[in-house]
This record gives sequence, structure tokens and C-alpha cells, in this order.
Amino acid sequence: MSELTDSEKHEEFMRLFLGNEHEVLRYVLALVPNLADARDIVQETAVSLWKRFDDYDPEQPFAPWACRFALNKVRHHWRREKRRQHLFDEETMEFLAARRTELADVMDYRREFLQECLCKMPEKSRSILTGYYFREETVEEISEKTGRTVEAIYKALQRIRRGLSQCIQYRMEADSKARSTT
Amino acid sequence: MKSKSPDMDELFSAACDGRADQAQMERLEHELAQDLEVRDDYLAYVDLHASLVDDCIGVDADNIVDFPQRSGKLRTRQVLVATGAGIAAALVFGLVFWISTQRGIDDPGYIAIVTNADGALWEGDDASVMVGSALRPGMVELCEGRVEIELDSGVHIAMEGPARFELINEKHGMLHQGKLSANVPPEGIGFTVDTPSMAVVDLGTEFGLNVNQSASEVHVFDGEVEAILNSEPSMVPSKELITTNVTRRVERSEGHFEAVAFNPDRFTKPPDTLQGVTRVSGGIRVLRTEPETVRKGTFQHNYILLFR
Repeated sequence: MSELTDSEKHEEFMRLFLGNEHEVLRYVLALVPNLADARDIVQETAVSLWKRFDDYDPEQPFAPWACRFALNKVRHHWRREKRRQHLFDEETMEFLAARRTELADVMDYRREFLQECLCKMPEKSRSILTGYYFREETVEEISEKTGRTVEAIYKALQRIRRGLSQCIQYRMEADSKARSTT
Repeated sequence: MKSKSPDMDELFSAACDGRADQAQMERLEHELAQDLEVRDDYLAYVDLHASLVDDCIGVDADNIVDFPQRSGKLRTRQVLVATGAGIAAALVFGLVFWISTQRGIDDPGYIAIVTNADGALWEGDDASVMVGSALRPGMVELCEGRVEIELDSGVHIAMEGPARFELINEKHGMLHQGKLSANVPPEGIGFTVDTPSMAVVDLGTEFGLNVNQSASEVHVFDGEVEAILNSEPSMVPSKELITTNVTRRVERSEGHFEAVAFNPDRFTKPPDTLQGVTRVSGGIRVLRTEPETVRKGTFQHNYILLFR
């Protein structure tokens, strides 16, 4: 990367990071499931990646390189947070990261069905998801907007994710069945 | 990844939403260590959780703003679709960017944004003005410290307190008192700063101004400006073209241009303009220091903010 001008380096980094940002977030979420914390960790990771961008070998895929930095940030996060809340220990983290790699193809397959399932969702549920995931509203803010209790919003999120998981599972099974009969 | 108990569903959901207590997290950790099926269910659950960050954008496409790109190398539209939610992480200068979705990018009320603040103390101890704050037309009063502001015309100005600068529009302001410098890109040519003794019209340059009770001074660091006297005495020219490294002073009581030796201490240093992905569409602003918080709600409009 060092042979590029600063401006080219910025652009190349931005292109690579944005192309892989979501994969890094997925990786971090497996280890730190709380979305707000995971987003912070991805941001911290991004700053470290840029600082070490000269070391990046463009012949190698970017995501695994970035995930190694993310793992360090996750460890820092644990050390920082351990005092106030219980989080996964090192061993749990390692087997989750390893199993996640093994399941990569299955996860890709599952994701193919998500959009279809989202389209079937009632407007009310969709609006909660949009607020929570897209507009990054807190559960408290959504509660205030909708006039429902905080607890009810948490339950709604849980129910929506459960419904989506079931919908994806159902469609995957139907798809597998259709493939096996053709 | 077939079925999970309601109990596990509650644990996964609580962990994802950050509401799990210590006992729940310990239980989750224990289950993940003991049971392979729970581990797979958990990974599928958090993967869905992560996918929703992206896929929910599709259900609220009205909030996505199309930014024309400056460089063919960057797929800026894709960038925005990928990160269109409130806080998103991406970088250019080692920086993180995000969007605040509170206001539309075309909101005519805001004409500038604070891009840097060093020891800034605002008039009235206004704590709400900080890096990332958007500014409407009006008086910017700085008691001490230094701030940098980017106007929507692309002009970057730096102010050193104590200073009073009135933002009139994106290409026009009035320096009532204090030190100000400006770095004007080609699209900002014509940027004008009034002072009590003269008006300075930029012709593509970097210049500094210093206004005190008795006089106004202008110095051109690079390029040229046209300075126009406020009063029009008959015996002397009422305007003058001022070029690189030339300083002119106008005493309020005298009303004519006076050549003075350049003394850099009398002017604040102009802000640098950053190279790279800046000013892509008017929708990106570069902040030089990290804002105190990146949480949604801090920023009042819909720019992508970059900081290094």
C-alpha cells in the first residue's frame, strides 16, 4: 500500500473497508452481541486498520485481516467491561469464532431468505425494526414514539426476530426440498 | 439450527439488546460451552441480528440520500446504502463517518459546520456548540481559543478568540472584531468578508483579517483579494487588488489603505483544506477532531461526517 499517494490510499482504504464493514460487524456481533457495543468496536477497529494500512497485503482478502484487528478490539472491550458486566471468556470467544467460520456457507444460504421474510412482515413490526436497526433509536425512544412500554418493545423485537428465524428456516427447508426433487 | 427453546430465545434476545443481566450472560456462556446445537442456534441468531442492520434499509429507502461522487473509484451510492443508518463506521483519513438522519441535507437553515475547536470558549458559555455543530446565519462569538468552520460554499475559515463573526450566508460574513483567516477553494470564489472599514472579496486565495477598535487589516497569504473601502474619499482609490504577502491596513478614522509590514502574529493561520474524499456533493464534512460523542442526536443535519 505504501507505493500509493495519500489520496489514493484513502480511497483504496475506504473502498475496502466499506466493502467489508458489514462482515466485520457480523464477526464482532458473534462475540459481542449487544449492537451498540459492537458498532463502537467496529469504529475503533476501523481507526486501527487505517493506522496499519501500510502493512496490508493487497493480494490477501481484506475481511480476515480486518477481523484479526476486530478480535483485539473485542478483547480490549471485554477487559474494559468485565468490571461492570459479565461477558464471554476467552475460550468461549475462540470456539464461537471458529464455529462461525465453519458455518459461513450455511449463514450465507440463510441470508438469501431474509429479504423475502422481511417483505411479509406487518407494518407495525417493520416500523419497530426500522427504528431500532436503521435509525438506531433506543428502545426507550421507540417506546416513547409508539406509546408502548419499554418492556413491550423488547418483547416485540424478540418476537420479530423469532418470527424471522422461523420464516427463514421454513423457506430454507422448502428450498432444499424443491432442489432435491428437481 | 432447527429449534431452540423459548428459554434460549430469551437469552439470545436479551444479549443482543444489551439487557441481559449477569446471571443470564453466565447461563448463556455455560450453554454455549456445553451444547453444540445451542452454539449454532446462537450464531444463526446473531447473524440475523447483524443482517437486519443492512436489510432494514430496504424498508425505509426514503431516508437514503444520493450523493454524486467525485472520484470514479468510489461507489458512493453504495456506500450510503450500506451505511445509511444513523451511526455507521467507515473511514477515509483514519476516520470514522456516520450520518445523522435528523434533518434533510437540503435544509436551508444551516449554512456551516464547526470542523475543529481548540480550547474554544463561546459567548455565554454555550456548551451546545462543538465540533460537528451546524450553524445557521447569525453571530458566532468566540471568547477564547480557536475554531474552524466550513461553510456550505466550501470556504474554510479559522477564528481566534476573542472574535465576533456574523455569518450572513454561505459566501458572505462580517468580522466585527478579532482574527479570522479563510481558505477559499475555486467554488468559493467571491466569498466576501465585511469589516467596519472595508470589505474583502476573495478571488481564490488564502487570506487573514484582523479587526480591532481602530482599524482593519488584511493580509493575503496566497492568491489575491479585492479590498473595497466602506467610505469613499474622493482623493484616494476606493478599492485595491491585494496580492500574495501584501498587507493593507485601514484606520477607521482615516479611511484609506495604508501599506504595513507583514507580521504573521497579527493573523491567525488559515485552515488547511484536506485532500481526498471531501466535498463530494456538499453532503460530506470533514471534522479534524473526534466529536465528543457519535451517538445519534448530537448532530443536527444529514451530513456524513468524517474525522481523522
